[in-house]
Amino acid sequence: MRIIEYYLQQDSWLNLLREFLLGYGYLAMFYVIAVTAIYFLIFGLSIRHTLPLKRGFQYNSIKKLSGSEHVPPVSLLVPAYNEELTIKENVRSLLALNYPEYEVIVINDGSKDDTFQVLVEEFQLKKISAIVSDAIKTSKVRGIYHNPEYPQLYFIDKENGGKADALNAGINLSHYPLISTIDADSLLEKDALTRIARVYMENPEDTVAVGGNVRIVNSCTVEDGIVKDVTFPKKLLPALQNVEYIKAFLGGRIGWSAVNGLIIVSGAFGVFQKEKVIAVGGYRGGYPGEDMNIVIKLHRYCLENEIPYRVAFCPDAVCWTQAPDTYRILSSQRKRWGRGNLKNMVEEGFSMVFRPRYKVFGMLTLPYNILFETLNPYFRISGMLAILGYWLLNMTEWKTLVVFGLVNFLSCFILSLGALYIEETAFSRYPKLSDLNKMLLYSFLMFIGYRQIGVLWRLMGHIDFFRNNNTWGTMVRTNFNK
Amino acid sequence: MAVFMRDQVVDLNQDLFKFVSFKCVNGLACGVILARCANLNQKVLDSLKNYMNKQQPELSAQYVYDDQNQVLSVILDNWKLSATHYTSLILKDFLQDHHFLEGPIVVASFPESGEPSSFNLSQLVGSVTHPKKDSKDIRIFTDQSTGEEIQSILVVDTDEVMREFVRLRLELQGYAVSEAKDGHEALEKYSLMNPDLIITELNLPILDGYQLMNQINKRDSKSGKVIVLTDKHLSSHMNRAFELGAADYITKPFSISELTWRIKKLNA
Repeated sequence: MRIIEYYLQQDSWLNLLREFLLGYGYLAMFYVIAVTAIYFLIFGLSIRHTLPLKRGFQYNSIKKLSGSEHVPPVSLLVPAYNEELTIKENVRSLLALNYPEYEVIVINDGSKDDTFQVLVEEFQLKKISAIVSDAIKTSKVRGIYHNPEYPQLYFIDKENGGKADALNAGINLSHYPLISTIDADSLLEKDALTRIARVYMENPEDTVAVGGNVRIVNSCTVEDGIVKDVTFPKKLLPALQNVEYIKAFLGGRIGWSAVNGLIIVSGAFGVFQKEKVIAVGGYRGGYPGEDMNIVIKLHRYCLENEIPYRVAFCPDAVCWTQAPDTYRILSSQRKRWGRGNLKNMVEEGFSMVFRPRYKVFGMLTLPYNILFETLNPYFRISGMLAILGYWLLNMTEWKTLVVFGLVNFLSCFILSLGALYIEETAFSRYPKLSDLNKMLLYSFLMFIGYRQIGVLWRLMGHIDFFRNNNTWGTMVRTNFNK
Repeated sequence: MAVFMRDQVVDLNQDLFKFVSFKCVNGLACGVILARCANLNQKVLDSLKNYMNKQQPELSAQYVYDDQNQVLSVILDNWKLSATHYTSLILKDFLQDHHFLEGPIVVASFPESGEPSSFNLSQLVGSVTHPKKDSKDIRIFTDQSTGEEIQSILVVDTDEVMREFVRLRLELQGYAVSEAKDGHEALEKYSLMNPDLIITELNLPILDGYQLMNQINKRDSKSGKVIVLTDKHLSSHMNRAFELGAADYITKPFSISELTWRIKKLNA
């Protein structure tokens, strides 16, 4: 009798577990269907806007705009921390952009290497006493340097305070109504600013931010700060990141900007209205992810104050950046992104999500980002455990699993191919056929290991967040001219 | 045939150049009279020599007749321009009396009439062999290179296609054109070749157009004219370029005829 009872009890436990797993299964189904639907919606918008975008930049005389008095002046902010290898070349190339009126403000964020000496010697800068606004509080500025021979160039030497703090110091010195943030390890194309200005000028009142397109420079030939020969990365990790970037920027951001739901303007290259950035208190210091943070704050500020606004994306304005090519550095970058993303959601996102007041941003962008980006690792891992449960409890057979997996894989793969299609029709930066083949290959390879490990990195970033580990991690620079 | 004729002129130029520069190096003035004459022979030259010496006893001169070009050259030792001019009047009398004179007489004295450069001398010979007007007047040679005739041009631009286009078109106009792709290379080529004119974009890597002009001003205030040919349309850029001594400012897109016209204007 006891034994029977024991078995019955066991059985009810198992039944409970079965029921739970079944419920979870339905939830997971809805989750996957919802995320796929959003993916396809955004991707559909991207495709829909590709042709108008293409026509837009084909029939615009960028050349003529680049010297015209009608484009707004821009202050370029270049935060530099331990950049002695690339800073010289980078500043030289920034000083020779095709843009009528702009200034380059390099901010040395208390570098421990010779960034300061390299720059001061190269451009023979002298300390000046400049008028600096105190719109945003920053760490102590040690000095501002300038040389009348290079009237567009300013150099701020300040104590270390992080990237956001450096940007704020740059905003305080800047003289023009638009600011543009550029990573010191990135190369701006000569006409990138003009192309962004074109987008800005379509609606100068409302456009609060315009993001540029980030491409990966690994394996390309660089001469005098100009990318001469575009080649698909030869190493595995940069190649995977390349297709990942193309997918995110072309398949994703074009669509998000179409519904004014862009949540990020990449820190590597973006243009902002200075007045609005100051109004939201400048960049948030002390934590990575400041590029997403500023855009969320701009959305919130404009929506709360009922200011008509637009956060635009300009895919033809290209900034070339060096992608990490070792496992260690890539993982540290991705952990940092995961940590920054979680921080932004905790700080800003949770208080805005699902509130009609915040329109598309609150009803679509944030739910998508929280449920399908931030919480993605937890669903993935619990899903894995559930599949294990189904298998152990004989609730499924391998055929169902395979079909489910294949459908999921195919829908994602179609999105990757779609992004490549946009790349090829509108931009075709990789003219070689072999490069196209490689892109197709790596779009496929992305699903074997790389995506899974990305989820793991994000989870580790969250663990760092909860353990209060707040470091920037490592990033090693190499000279552009290899 | 034409090529052959040209060679003859070159020979004449070179002989003249050797004579004149030899005199000038020794610190002496050197008068030159060139006259277009037909059918002179040694006998006539001798009688001419006697006639001239009778008129001007202190004269020390050499008389050379070039058959092919039919040019009589008289080279006068240590003879200033005014004296040379006076001598040419006597020479003209003689030649006209004997009906030898076929074209103009051109008078010069170096270094008064300019540097005794091979360019100047070829201009001098050219004005006799290919006169602009068909007359038998005496003309005083004026040095055109003191107006700094532009011959060599340096084109500075980052855009390869642009450079090549300007170079080809200007070469068709007879200028010697070289190219540089950035400010640094431009400065190197400038000190190497010393071009008469620089056509530069303002937006250049390493040294920009302004710095290039600044450096050129520091090195040599007199030579090195600069025409700015740029994408930049703002008046502030134009002001700064002119302050740094630009001779002209042309914005892209531009017409090549405008550019050549403006180069010609610089010569005037």
